[in-house]
Amino acid sequence: MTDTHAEAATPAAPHALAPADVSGAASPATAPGAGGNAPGTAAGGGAGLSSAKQALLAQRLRRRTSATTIGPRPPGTAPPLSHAQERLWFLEQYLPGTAAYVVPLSVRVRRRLDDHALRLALRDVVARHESLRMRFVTTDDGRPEVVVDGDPAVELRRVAVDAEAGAAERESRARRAVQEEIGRPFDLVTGPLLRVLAVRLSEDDHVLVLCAHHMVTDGWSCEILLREILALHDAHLSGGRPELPSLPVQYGDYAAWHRERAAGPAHERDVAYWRETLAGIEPLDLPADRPRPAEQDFAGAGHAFTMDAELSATVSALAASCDATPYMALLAAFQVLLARYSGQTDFAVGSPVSGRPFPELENLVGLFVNTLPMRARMAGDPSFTELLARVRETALDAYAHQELPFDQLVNELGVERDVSRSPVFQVLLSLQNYDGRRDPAVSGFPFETSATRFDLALYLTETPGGLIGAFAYRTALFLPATIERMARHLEILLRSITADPSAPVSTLAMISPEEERQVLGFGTPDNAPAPAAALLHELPAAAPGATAVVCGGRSMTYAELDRASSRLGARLRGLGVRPDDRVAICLEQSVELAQAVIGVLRSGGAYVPLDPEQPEERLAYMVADAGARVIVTTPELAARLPFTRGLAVVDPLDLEDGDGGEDAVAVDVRPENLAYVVYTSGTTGRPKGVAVQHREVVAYLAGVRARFDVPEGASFALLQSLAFDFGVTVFYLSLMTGGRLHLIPSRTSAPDLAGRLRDIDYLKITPSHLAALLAEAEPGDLLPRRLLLLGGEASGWEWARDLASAGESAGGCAVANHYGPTEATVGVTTLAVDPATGDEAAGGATLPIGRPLPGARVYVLDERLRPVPPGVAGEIHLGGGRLARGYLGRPGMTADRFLPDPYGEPGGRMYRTGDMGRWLPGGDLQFLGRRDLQVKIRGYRVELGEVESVLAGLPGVTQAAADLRGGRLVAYLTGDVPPDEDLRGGLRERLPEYMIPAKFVRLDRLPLKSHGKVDRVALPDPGAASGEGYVAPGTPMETDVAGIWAEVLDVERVGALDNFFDAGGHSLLAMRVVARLRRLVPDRPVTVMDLFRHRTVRELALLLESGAGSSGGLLHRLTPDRPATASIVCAPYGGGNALIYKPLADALPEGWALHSIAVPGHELGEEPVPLEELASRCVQEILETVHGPLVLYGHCGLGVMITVEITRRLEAAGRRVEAVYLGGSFPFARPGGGMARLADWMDRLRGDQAMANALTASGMDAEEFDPDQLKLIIRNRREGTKDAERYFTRLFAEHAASERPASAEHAGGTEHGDGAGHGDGAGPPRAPVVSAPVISVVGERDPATEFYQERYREWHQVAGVTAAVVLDEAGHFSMKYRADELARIVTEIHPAVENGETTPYERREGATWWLHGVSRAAPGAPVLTRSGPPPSMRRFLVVAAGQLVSITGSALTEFAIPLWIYLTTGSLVSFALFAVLGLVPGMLVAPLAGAIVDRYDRRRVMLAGDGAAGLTQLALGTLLWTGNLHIWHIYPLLVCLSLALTFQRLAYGSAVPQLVPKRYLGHANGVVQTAFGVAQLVVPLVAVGLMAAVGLEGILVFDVASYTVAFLTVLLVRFPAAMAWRRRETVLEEIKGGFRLVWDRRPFRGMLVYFAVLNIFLSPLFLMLSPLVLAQATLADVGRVAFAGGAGVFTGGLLMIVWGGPRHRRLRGVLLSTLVLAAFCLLTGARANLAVIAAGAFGMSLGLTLLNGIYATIIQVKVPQRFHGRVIALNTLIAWSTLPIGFGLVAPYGSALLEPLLARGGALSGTVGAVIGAGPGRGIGFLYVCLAVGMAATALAALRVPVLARFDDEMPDALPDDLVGVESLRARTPDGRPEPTRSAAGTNADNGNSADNGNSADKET
Amino acid sequence: MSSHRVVVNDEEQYSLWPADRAVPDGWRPEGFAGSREECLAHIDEVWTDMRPRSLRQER
Repeated sequence: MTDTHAEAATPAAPHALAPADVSGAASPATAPGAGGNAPGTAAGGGAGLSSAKQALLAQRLRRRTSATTIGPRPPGTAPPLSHAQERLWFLEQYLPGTAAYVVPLSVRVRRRLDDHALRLALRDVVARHESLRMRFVTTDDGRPEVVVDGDPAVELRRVAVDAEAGAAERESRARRAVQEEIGRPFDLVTGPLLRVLAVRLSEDDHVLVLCAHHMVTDGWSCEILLREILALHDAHLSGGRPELPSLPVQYGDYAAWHRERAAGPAHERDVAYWRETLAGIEPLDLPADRPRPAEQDFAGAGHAFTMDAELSATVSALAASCDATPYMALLAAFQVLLARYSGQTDFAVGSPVSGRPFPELENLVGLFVNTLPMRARMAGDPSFTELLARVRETALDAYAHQELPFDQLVNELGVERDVSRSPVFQVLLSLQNYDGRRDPAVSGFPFETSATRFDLALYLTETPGGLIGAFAYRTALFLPATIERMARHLEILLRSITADPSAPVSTLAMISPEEERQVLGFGTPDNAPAPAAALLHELPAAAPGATAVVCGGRSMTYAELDRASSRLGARLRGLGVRPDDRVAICLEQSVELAQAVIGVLRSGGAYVPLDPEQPEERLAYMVADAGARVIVTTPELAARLPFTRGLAVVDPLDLEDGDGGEDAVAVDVRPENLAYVVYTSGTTGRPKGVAVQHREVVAYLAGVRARFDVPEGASFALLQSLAFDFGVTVFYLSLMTGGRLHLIPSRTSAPDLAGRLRDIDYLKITPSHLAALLAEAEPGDLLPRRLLLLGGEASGWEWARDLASAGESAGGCAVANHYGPTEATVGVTTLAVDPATGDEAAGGATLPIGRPLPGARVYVLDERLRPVPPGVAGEIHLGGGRLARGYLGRPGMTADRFLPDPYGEPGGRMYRTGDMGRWLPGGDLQFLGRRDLQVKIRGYRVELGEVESVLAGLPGVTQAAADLRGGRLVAYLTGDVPPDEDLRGGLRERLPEYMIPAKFVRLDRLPLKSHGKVDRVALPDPGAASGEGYVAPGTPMETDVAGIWAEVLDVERVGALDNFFDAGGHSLLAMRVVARLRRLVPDRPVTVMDLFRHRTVRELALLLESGAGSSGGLLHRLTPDRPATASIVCAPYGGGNALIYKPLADALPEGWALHSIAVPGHELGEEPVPLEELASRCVQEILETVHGPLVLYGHCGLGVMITVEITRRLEAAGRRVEAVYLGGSFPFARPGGGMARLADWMDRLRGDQAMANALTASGMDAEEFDPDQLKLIIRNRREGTKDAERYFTRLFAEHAASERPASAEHAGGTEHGDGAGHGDGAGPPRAPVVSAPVISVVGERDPATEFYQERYREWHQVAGVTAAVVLDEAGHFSMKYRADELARIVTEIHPAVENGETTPYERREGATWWLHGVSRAAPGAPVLTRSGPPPSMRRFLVVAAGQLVSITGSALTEFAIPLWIYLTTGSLVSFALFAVLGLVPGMLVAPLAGAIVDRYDRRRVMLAGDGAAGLTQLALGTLLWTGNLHIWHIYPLLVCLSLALTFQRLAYGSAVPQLVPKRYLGHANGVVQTAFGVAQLVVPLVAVGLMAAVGLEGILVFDVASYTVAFLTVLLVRFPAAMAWRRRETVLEEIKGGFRLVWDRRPFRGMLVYFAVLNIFLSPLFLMLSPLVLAQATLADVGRVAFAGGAGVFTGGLLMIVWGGPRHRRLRGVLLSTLVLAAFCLLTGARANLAVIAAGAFGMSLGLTLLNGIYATIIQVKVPQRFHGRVIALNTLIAWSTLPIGFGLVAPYGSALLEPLLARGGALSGTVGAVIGAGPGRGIGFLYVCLAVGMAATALAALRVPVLARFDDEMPDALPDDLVGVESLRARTPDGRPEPTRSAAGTNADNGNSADNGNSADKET
Repeated sequence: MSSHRVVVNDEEQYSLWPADRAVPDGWRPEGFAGSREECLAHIDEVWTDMRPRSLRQER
C-alpha cells in the first residue's frame, strides 16, 4: 500500500524508511541533547521529579555541555565495530542478502540537479564521513573487522523518465525505480554501503533516493546526508564553498570510545538499572488476524493517517500542562490503546533516541540510534494525567540510562529469545517534529513499506497542519483493515482523553457508535423458531414402531421407550418425586439410559446425570449436593456405590407393569421447571451443579435443529457420557425428530467405530477425541453421513478444514464447530466449516466458533462491560432466553456470574463465561482461551483451582500449583511430596481421571509474582516427555506401542522418544502395557524387564520388530552399564517382579553390578516354570555372564528358596559365591500328618478377598488391578509360599538324614519330602551345605523374622557360617525403603565376617542397623548352642495336649458353676455375679501375669498355674463332694481359679515358640488356635451335658483329673532352652500406646466410643441365654442352645475365611453386622420357643463373629502392622471395662425389673406380653428385645454420624510398616537418617504382592 | 467502600452491579450495597428460592 500524506509537502517522513525501527532516531523531540526539544530541557523544569533524579539529570546535562569527551583514536589504528554494528553484522550473517537493513531516504527535489555536481558532492560527503567508507570483512577466525577505504567510492545511478508521456506515467516509473532501488541488498564485504538513485522527472523535478546499509547510518544520519549532499551539490554547481560543520571526531573514534565505556562503571550502572526496570516483562500480544508464524519475518506494510491540527495542539497543551513532552502524552495514549487491544497492562513500547549524547556527534553520519524500552505502568486504572506522570518518570529515567545500546541490553538481560517476535518490546512509537532546516523545494517521496522488524510501529510527525501518522505492521500478523481501525480508535481515544484527562483510562471511549451497533448486531441473531414441544420429554408420536435407541445390540422403539419411561416416571412419582426435585441417574451407556432420562423428566423431576466411572466420593458429593433422594441405577452399580444405600434406588429394568402408563406423566411440569442439573468443575475444590430448565433446552434444540436443518428420522451417535451436557445435543435432537439414537461407549476404538458410523447421519465429538481416533482410522471411516459437530474445546483451523474437505469428498458430510458453556444451555454459537476458506479469513490458528443460534445473544465486552470493537479481545458474555436458572443452591455464585444484561431485553440476564473471544471482521466469533484458571482437557472443563486444592490436601504436600503444558495437566508441588504413584492413588479417590495430572514436578518453592500469586509462566517446563520434544511415532509398530502407552498412561499422545517412566509410568502400569503388547505381538512375549530396558517407544518398537527373543534371560541388570568389579544377584519375593531391586541397584556403590531375577509366571500370560528349571537357567546365566566376586540376595520365602538353590548349584559347578544374603525370612517348614492337610484345606478355602485385604494392609490399592492381575498376584503369593515351604521341608529332611554322617560332602541320600522336581538323577548333586556364609537380613519389626536372635543359626542347615544383620525399626520391605543401608550391608558385611573384623558393625548408639551376631559351626552341627533338649514337634504336642485338656476342664467349671448357682438359688444376681467373678480377676491380673511370664521360666509359671488351678478345683470338689459347699466358699475359690488360669494361659502361649522347632511355628500356632476354637465350640455342650449327667460333682472330678494330667506333662517334659515369645512392651504400655494412636484419629476415636457403647448391650446377651432357656426348658436344652451358639461362631468364622469381609466401607460392614446381631437378639427374645431361641443364639453368635472379623480387617488395613497389638489391647480394655456394667447391672437387675412386669398379670403382660408372651422368663425375653433395640439404635445412630459413616474414606489406609519405621527412626535421630529410598519403578504393589508372604511363616495354618 | 449494589429483576432473580453505574433496564436496586463479596454474601442470605417468580406463583 502507498502512503499518501507525503503529497502534503511535508519533510521526508520517517515512515518512509525501512526497516522501520532504524528511522525513529531522527526524532529530536525525544533525543536528549539534540536540540531545543530535548527532554533534558523538559526535565530541567521538571516539577514533580524527585530531587535525586533532578540532580542526576542536571549532572548528565552538565557533562554533555562540557568539553569534548570523545577524542580521536591513535592515528593509523583501524576502528573497532561498535556494539550495534557488531549485532547487525551477526544478523546479516544469520540472514544474508536481504534488504531488511537497507535504510532508504526518498525525497522529491523540485529543482535542478546536476549529475556532475551531484557526483562530486557524493564523493565529498563520503570522504567527509569515515562511516561511509567502511566495509566489513570476516577474519579467518570468523570475526568481523572494519576496513576503511581511503578512496571515496560512490554508487550513483541515474534514471531519466522525462521522456515519458504523462506526468502520471512518469511518476509511476519513478515509483517503480525507487521501489527497486530500496529492495536491493548490500554486500558488506565489498561495499560501498551507500548508493544513490537520481530519477529525473523533468529538468526541475527529481526523485533522489539515498540508500545506505544500517551498519553505517540511521534515520538522523540520512537527514544529515541529504542536507550535506544538497549543499555540496549547490557549491559545486556555483563554485562556492559550502558551510559544513567541522567534524572533530569520526564514527570509528566513537566506536572505540563506546567500547571502552562498556567496560566501565557507568555501563554497569546502566545495566543494573535496565535489569531492574525490565524484570519480568512479558511480550505484548496484540490480537493478530493471522496465527503468529513460528519465526519472525520482516514482511511489512504501512498505513498512513492524519489528525487535525486542533487535536494535535490540544494534546501538546495537555502534555505541557503536565510538564511532559508531546511524545510522552502520545506514548501514554498509545499505551492505553495497546492495553485495550491486548488486555495487558504491563508491557514495553520501544522508543527510539538519537544516541548522540555529545555535540561533536551531532553532525556525524553513522549508526547511533538506540531504542529504549518504555515499560507501561497501567496498573490500578489510573487517570490519563496520572498515567502521563508515570510515563514521564519512566521516560526520564530511561533517557538517563540511554547509553546502553539496546542490543547489548538484550544480551545483558539474558532475555529468553523467542524467534517468533522481537525481544523485550514488539511495538514501537516514534515522534518526529518538523525539520525547519530543510530546503523548501524538498519533500518526501512515498514508497511502499515492505519491511518492519516489529509487530507494529507507529511513526508520528508533528507538522503545522497536524499530526501525520504512519503505522508499519507485519503483514504476517495483521490485515490492513485492522490497522485502519486501530488508527481510528487512536484518534477517538485521543479526543476522549483531551475531553476529560482526569477520568480513569478504563472509562475512555475508543469505539465509535457505529462500531458498537455493528458488534451488538453480530451477537443478536434472529428470534428463535417456535419449538416443536414445550417440554423436553415429549416424544413424537408419528412412528411408534421406529427404533428410538440402540446400544450394544439392544434397542427400543419409540413406543417401547414411551412405555418404559412412563413406567419409570410413575414409579418415581410414587416415590414422591415432584417438579424441581432432583433424581440421580447413574447408568452405563445403555438403552435404559434413554428410558431413565425421559422417565425422570416425565415424573416431573430433574435428572442429575452421574458418570459411573467417576470416583465414588465425587459422585456421593454430587448426589448430596443436588439433594437427590432417589437414584436410577442398576443393582450392580448400586452395590459398587455405597452412597446409594441412603437413597431410594430404582432399577430401570425392574419395573412392573403396574407401575403405570401414559397417564402417569406429570401434568404439573412447566417449562420453567428444572430439566437437569449437570455438575461442572469448581474452583473451591468441589464441583458445582448447573440447574437448567426445560424452556431453555427446548429453545436450544429448536435453534440447533433449524440451524442444521435436521430432518425427521435421521440417525445419531453419542459417544460421550450424558453426565456432561455435551451429549444433550445429539440425545434430544434424535428423540425429538423421531431419529435413531446410537449410544456408543466412549472407549470404542477407531476400527470398531468405523463400522458403526457408516449408518450415522449426525455425530458430535470433541476434537481431541476425534483426533485420537483419526490416529487409527481414515477420516472417511469416521465421518458421519450428514454432519460432524465439533465441540467441547477449541480445534485447529487447518485440521477442521481438512476434515471438511474429507467430508465433502466423502459425499457431503458437513463439519461444524459448536461453542457454549453448560450455563448457557449446551451451546450458543455454531460455525459451518467451509473447506474453501482461505487463510485470510481464518482469523488465527483456532477455528472460529461462529455466530449465535437463534434466541441467544453474544457479547464480547471489556472489563467495564462495554462492547469491544471487532478484532479486539474481550470476555464473552451470553444472554437471551438461553441461560440456566443458575447454580443449584448457590445464589451468591449465581449472582456473581449471571449479571444484568444492559444490551438485551429489560430485566434480562447475561452469563459471564470467563472465556475470552473477539469478533472477526465478518461477524464470526473467535474463542481466545480462558481468562481464569479454567482449562479444557480432552473436552472436559477443569478448574485448575479444584485440582490444586485437592493436591494441596494430599499428605506431605505443602503447596500445589497445576498448569496445562502441552495439552497435559502438570502438577507442581512443594513439601515432603510422596512418590508419584501415591499421589495418583490419593487423587484417584477424589478426582475423575481426566483431572489427574499426567506429571508431577517437585519444587523447593513455587515461583511467585510480586502480588503473591503463583507465577504460572515461571513454572518450569516438565521436561522432554511433554509437548516440545514430541517426535511423532514413525513406523506402524511405534504407533501401536505409543498408542498403548498413551492409553495406559492416559495421556493424549506419546512421542517416539518419550520415556515410559518419565511420562508417569510405573511397574503397575508396565504390567498393563506388557499385557497389551502381548496381545499385539503374541509371538514375541514382552516382559516388564523389556520395557525397563527399552524405555522409549522407539527402542521398544525396535525390539519388538527385531523379533529378538527377550534376551531369553532371567537376569536383568538394573545398575547402569559401568565397569563392575563385583556383582550381586537378587531374587524377588513371591509376586514381586525384578524391578523391586531398583532402589538397591541405585544405592549400590560404583563398581557393583546388580542383576535381578525375573521369575517366570509373575507377569500375565507367562507360564511359571518349576524351581529346578528356574535355578538351573539362572545358574547357567550367572556362569556365562556374571564374572568376578559374586554375592546373592534373596527375599522372603520365594526369594530365599531360589537363592539357596542357586547357591547350591553354583558351588556344585565350581563357582565361588562370596556370600548369600537372605532377607525377610527364616526357613519354614511343614510338619507331616493330618495337621498339614487341614492347613491345606483351610488355605484353599480362604477367599481372595482376605488376601486382597492383606495386600491393602501393606499399602496397595487392590482396586488398581484388573481381576486377572489380582488373581495372578494372589496365586503367586500362595504358590511362592507353598513352594518355599515344600523346599525347606525337603531340605530339613535331607539335613536330618545327613546329620549322622555329619559331612558337608553328603551327596547321596534318599529322596525326602515331596520331591519337587528332583528325580531321575538328572538334578545336580545334592550338597546340603554351601560354603558361602549365609547372612540374614532382619527387619527388627518384621514379624517374619521374629526370634532372629536364635533363628539365624537355623541357616546352619545350609551353611557353616551364618550371621544376622538387623535393620532397626524395619519391617518386611527393607529393599524398597532402606535401600541405602541395605546397599552397605550387602557390600560390607561379608568381607567383615570373613576377616573376623566385625567390631565396627556391632550395635552402637544411634546406629540404624547393626551386625547382631556371627555363628560359625561345623557343617551340620546342632542348631542350638545352649543347653537343654532341642525343640521338637513331639515335645510340643505332648504339652499342648495336656494344656488343651486342662483348659477345657477349667472352662467347663467356669461355665458350670454359675449355672449350678442359678439352679441352686434361682437368683439371677448371683448367677451374674459369679460369671463376673470367673472372668474379671483374671483380666485384672493379666498385665502383671504377662510381666511375670516374660521374666521367669515359663515352665515353672505353667506348673504353678496348673497346680493352683488343679488345687482350687480339688478344694471346690472336696467341699462339694463332702456336702460342705456354701455359696460364700465359691467366691474366693472362683477368684483363685480365674487368676491361676490367666497365668497358665499366658505362660503356655508364650512357651509355644520355645517348645516347637521354629520352622514349624506358624503351624504350631495354628494348632493351638484351632484347638482353642474347637474347645470353645464343645465346652458349653459338654458342660451342660455333664451337668445333666454327672452334675457339678462329676465335672469337678473330671477337672481335677485333667489338671493332674496337665501338671504331670509339664513336669515330665524338659523345655528346650530356645527363645520364648516376649511382648515388646507391657500390656499397660500397649494400652497407653493404643490410646495415643487412636485418640489422634477422629474416626478411630468415634469407633472406640461406638464399641464402648455397644459392649454394654452386648455383654449380657450370651450370659442370659441359660436363664432364658431354663425358664421354660431343661438343662439339656441349655446345651442345645449353647451348641447352636457355637455353631454360629463356627459358621461366622468360616464365612469370614471364605469371604474375607467387605472390600469397601468396612466400618459400615461392622455396623450392619451389629444390625444382624440386633435382629437375632430380637428373635431370641421374641418367643418362648426353644427353636426360636436356638436360632437367635445361632444368629447372634454369627453376627458377633462377623462383626469381630470385619473389625479385624479394619485393624489390618488401617493400622500399620507394628501397632496392631496396641490397638487390639486397647479394644480388649474397652470391651472388658463395660463387662461389669453388662454382667453386673444390666443382666441381673434388668431382668429382675422386667420379670415381674411380664409375669402373668404383670403390668406389661397385656401389651408387650401379648406379643412376646407372658410368664416366667419372658422378662428376660423382653430384656433381649430391649437390648436388641439398644444395639440397633446404636448402630443406626452410628450410621448417621459422619465420622463413622465415612470412616473408610476419611481414615487413610495404613502407611507401609517400613515407612512407619523410617519415620520413627527419623524422629529418633536428629540428623534425619535414614532417608527412605524411593523408587521410580518400585510400587506399592510390589511390596503388596507378597505382604502376606512375609508373614506367612507365622500365619500359615 | 460500596463498589457494588445488589439488584433484582421482575423474576426476583438477584445479581450485582457496579455502584457507580446506572442500573440496566428491568432491574432495580434491592437496597443493599457493599463490596462484591459483601453483596454476594447478602444474596446468599436473601435469595432463598432461586425459582423464577412466575414459576413460584403458579404453585
